[in-house]
Amino acid sequence: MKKKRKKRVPIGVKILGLVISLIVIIVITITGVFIVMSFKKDQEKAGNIAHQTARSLSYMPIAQDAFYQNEKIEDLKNIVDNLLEDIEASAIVVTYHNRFFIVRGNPDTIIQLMDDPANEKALIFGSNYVKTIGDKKNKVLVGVSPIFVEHGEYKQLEGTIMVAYDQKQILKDVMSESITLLIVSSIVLLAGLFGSIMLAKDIKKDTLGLEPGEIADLYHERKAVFMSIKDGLIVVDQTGVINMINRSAKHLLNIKGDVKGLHLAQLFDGADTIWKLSNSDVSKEFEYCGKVMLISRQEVRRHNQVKGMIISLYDKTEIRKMARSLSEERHYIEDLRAQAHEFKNKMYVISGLIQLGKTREAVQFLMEETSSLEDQNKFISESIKDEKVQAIILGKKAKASEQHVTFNVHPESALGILPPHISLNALVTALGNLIDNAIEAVKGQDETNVSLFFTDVGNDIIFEVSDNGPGVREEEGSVFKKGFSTKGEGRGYGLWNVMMEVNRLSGEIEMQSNTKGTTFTIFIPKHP
Amino acid sequence: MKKWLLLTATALMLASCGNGTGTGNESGDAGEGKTDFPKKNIEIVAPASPGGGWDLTARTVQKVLKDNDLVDKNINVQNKPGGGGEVGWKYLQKKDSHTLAVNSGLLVTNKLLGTSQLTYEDFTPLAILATEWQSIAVAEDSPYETLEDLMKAIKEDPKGIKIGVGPALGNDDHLSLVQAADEYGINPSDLNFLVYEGGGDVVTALLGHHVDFVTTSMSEVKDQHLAGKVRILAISSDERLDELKDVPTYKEEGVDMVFPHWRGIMGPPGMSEDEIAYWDDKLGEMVQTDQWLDLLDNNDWDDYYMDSKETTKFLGEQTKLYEELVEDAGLGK
Repeated sequence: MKKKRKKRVPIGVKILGLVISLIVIIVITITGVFIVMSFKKDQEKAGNIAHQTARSLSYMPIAQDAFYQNEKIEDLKNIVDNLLEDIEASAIVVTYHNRFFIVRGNPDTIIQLMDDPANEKALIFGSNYVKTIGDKKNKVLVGVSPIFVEHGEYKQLEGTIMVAYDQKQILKDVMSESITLLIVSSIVLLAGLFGSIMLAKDIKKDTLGLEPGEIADLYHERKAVFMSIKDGLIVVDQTGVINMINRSAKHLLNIKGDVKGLHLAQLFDGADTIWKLSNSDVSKEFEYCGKVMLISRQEVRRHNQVKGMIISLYDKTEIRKMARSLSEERHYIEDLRAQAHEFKNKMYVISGLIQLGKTREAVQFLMEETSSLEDQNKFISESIKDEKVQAIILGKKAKASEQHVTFNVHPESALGILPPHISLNALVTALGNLIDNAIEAVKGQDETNVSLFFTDVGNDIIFEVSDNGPGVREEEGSVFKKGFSTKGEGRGYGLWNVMMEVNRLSGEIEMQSNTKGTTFTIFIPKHP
Repeated sequence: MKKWLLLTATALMLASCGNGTGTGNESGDAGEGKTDFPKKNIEIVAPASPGGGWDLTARTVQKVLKDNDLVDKNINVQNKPGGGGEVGWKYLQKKDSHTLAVNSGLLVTNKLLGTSQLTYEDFTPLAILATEWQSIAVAEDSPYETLEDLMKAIKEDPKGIKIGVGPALGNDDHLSLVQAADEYGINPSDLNFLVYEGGGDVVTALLGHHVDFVTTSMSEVKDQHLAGKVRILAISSDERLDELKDVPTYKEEGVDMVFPHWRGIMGPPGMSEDEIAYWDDKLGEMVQTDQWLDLLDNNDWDDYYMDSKETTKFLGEQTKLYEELVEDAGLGK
């Protein structure tokens, strides 16, 4: 079941929503609590006032006298009116026994009191109390006191006083008080609205106008891109601490595990060279763990300040390998072409002899050629069990022959099947280069001699290539350096490649050279 | 949403941890308190001025407990008058278990009459100690020979018959008559009460023929009855009393009611079971001492002892009884 992607709520709306709902909840809660508390308090106060007023009125002689003296009734009415105003009660009622004697105040409240007289207990038991009458909507708090008329020795219960507070009135008063609170809350709400809009704007400014969701998407996208790039990429901050590193970079630098937070210098030797790169556009070749890479850096700037750096590593080893195998192929083709040329020359000789009618000479020449070829081939195929080496040597023989260079394989040479860790490519590179160099060295001399000796007696496989060329003048070490050549610009990778291959096979290479010739010897262990 | 839930859950966990430690401490304290009760002096609250019935009860209990060495600690009586017992009892509510207060039927009726919110359930009832009995008395030359005569007369002309009572309406003197009248089918609000300052004034009014009859404690009229100046028509006990063999009970006179004017003692709310057991033990012993029984006789009280369990049950019954009485009267039946 595929869910439709949820629509994102903009950050501004989120903040606004949160702030408004928070403020509204707070305002409602505080106002509600205020109203409930005030209502309770006012109700309690009303109850107390009702009770006390009823009680003190009942003690006033005039309340007792009014029952018997008509002229006192007006006075009592006046007192009740004044009291009603002073204590803001809804109604005050004086009864003579259960007959309503004086009624003052809100008619609705008085009708409620008539319907449900709150004074029954006071009339029978002479007690003082506060009673709530009416239904839920029209509650009335009534303070009730009995009126005892003094008769000297004794007193008699003759009536009651009821002081009533309508709860609706109390609630109304509380509500009007809470309006101030609501006004203040509204101002706070407005301030909150303004503040949250500003906050949202500010956040968007920091995020270049992007919503957080978009930022997250961007982040994931960019991370995936970053990780999938074939070139090695390392992102560091201005101090050189690693923030990000992709898979290729880890692979190139032989790193496993998490390196985030480490310093570049802890990551690999020679990392300081990166800092020495002055111009971020220039890339530099860098060698590490037998890998050749191009390293370059790009500064990350914000507000014209360097915030970090992106280091890219570009593996040249692969390209180098490709170029080399291409050149090996070219050598093969060259060797084959040379061989074909040789045979073509011999074919001309045979064809010439036949045209001249010297059939016997032709047959004899053919016989000699084939037997010498067979001898050679036979020797090579017998002394060398490994076909890879056979192929290389036969190729080189043809090349030497074409260049008119004498190329001999020492008759004592012998080689079994090579162990599998020695690849054809490595041999082509190592042996082929040495032989090519030797052929090149003696080319053009009157007497040319290149000889190859190999043996696998003992723990090492030994190849020795000798020539009678003019020798190498340079120090032995520098000939193996990359780019060293006596042959001009753009060359000089041969010996360096030879050494790389030999090193890879854990072997060694030696050179002896004087004016009469040069000998290179390669030792490759049978068991790496 | 999940985050909110998580936050709430954390808050709840914190809150519950807080509660846990709190209760642990409290129970520890209570555990220590059990073993050596009482730890300090005992205070008995008389919720009235010195000289009244409650004061007398408190001081009698103090004297008997002390004289018989029933309690190691000192016992003091505190007078907290006001509000028909309300002031003293509210004071007790705030004290620890070393404070007790005497009580009576007012503990039940105050709430019913609307003058107080307190009930016996706001306290720890410990014991009912003694009771007086209510009586109805007429002057020696009154035309009413029996209770029945009197009630018939009231029924005919409720306003014409003046009744002496004191010191206030709503007390047991008043209520007992309201109940009796109710049993006779007389509307209590029609009764014509003359309210005097106290029991003594009521008797004086009766002797002076200012009232037709009085409702009061038996002890107020006993001497006059024995002297032949007044006639007690009925007494609210379930059986005739030894000292007044000639006076019939209400029951005998056809009013199915026993009306004790009891006095008891209670502690503050939340007393431990051990503390309650302590007082059951001590007060149970006290009411059996000769001194206590002598003092009861002197005050014309009857032994009415109930232990804490019986007292709680009794107070429940009393509440129901008074409730019916007051509500019926309130409806003007």
